[in-house]
Amino acid sequence: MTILTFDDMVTKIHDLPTLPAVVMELLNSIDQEDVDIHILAKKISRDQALTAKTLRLANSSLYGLQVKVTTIQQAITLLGFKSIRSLITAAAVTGCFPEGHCHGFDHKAFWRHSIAAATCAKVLAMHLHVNQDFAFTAGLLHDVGRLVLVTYFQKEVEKAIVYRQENDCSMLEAEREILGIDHVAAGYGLALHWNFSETLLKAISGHHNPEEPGIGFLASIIHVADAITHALDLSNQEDDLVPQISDVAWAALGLSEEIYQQVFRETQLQFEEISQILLT
Amino acid sequence: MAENYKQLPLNQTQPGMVLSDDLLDRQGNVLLPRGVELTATTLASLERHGIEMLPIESGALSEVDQEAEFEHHRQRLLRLFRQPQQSATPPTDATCTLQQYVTNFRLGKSA
Repeated sequence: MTILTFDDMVTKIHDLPTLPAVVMELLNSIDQEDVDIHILAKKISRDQALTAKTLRLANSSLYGLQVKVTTIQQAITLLGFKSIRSLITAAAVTGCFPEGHCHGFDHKAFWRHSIAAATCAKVLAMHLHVNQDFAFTAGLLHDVGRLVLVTYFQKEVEKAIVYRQENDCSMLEAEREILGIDHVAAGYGLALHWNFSETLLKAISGHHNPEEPGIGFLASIIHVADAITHALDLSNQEDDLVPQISDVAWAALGLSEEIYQQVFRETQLQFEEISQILLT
Repeated sequence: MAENYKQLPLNQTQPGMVLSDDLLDRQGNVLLPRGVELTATTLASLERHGIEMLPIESGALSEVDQEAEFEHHRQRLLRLFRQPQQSATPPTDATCTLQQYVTNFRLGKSA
């Protein structure tokens, strides 16, 4: 059995895939208000694949625009800089990790789950009247530590996957048992390395323990969104398991059943569309 | 949107089924409006557009089929919400509430 430490992982993280420079710039600016939008729009437009995907997302039913946007600048004018920033991030991040050869790890299913959580977090944020773009980005990246582990500790993760199947436990428990570190720590390490904002850092590191003092409301939203997407069976995995929901986080959201029924429906509909755009 | 619908893969759809929602292509253009009855021609054309899943109205299901589908959902939800073997602690109240809500959602007993 290999027990890894957080430091082992951080050493490895230094040669992790990097995002396009402009995307890093966007992610690091997520808390800033004074960003020069025009310069960023120009930089993004140079990346044609990224631009195309972003525009497809902007034109999807996610926003229900009456006109079709054809340039990044126009999309920013109509939807706002913050929305476009979260869409660009989504388009960039989903294509950034190469599909590995880790036996038992389903790369597609991983992204399906991440996109579903992003969609659900955004829908929840809308009903809670909090920032939908933060919620979308945090939902998309909440499990990104899994990819770090798969990329650098492939053999150990394969063992953890077998352990999980044999013991029918959560992946989190299997990682702790076999690797000694879990995807939450790995995600935190990557988020630090990529210079993610405080808001994202807390949401990623708190999505399995939203009760931690000072971790913030977004962690609770991601925690509940994660459970909902497992319950809606959106990642298509036969042995999927709904994680336990913290009563504190659930109470913090304080939504009625009527709202949850809408959330389920909206999540399911938007998920189909967004995953079609991001995973092709 | 129709009260009951399900996402069906294109190869499981048949002429005569009714779209429960607007069908969009990858650019977000409406290919077919909701409420349209599918024909062999439209299905062939959707295949050419690379459409893989269709939202289909399921109000037309017979009672027997409906019951079978409900049973399938019930079983699936029991599996998804199963208690891990090693877990000594009972599920949290919030987890039970979510299970109830999603069950209502699947069985069309929305609040």
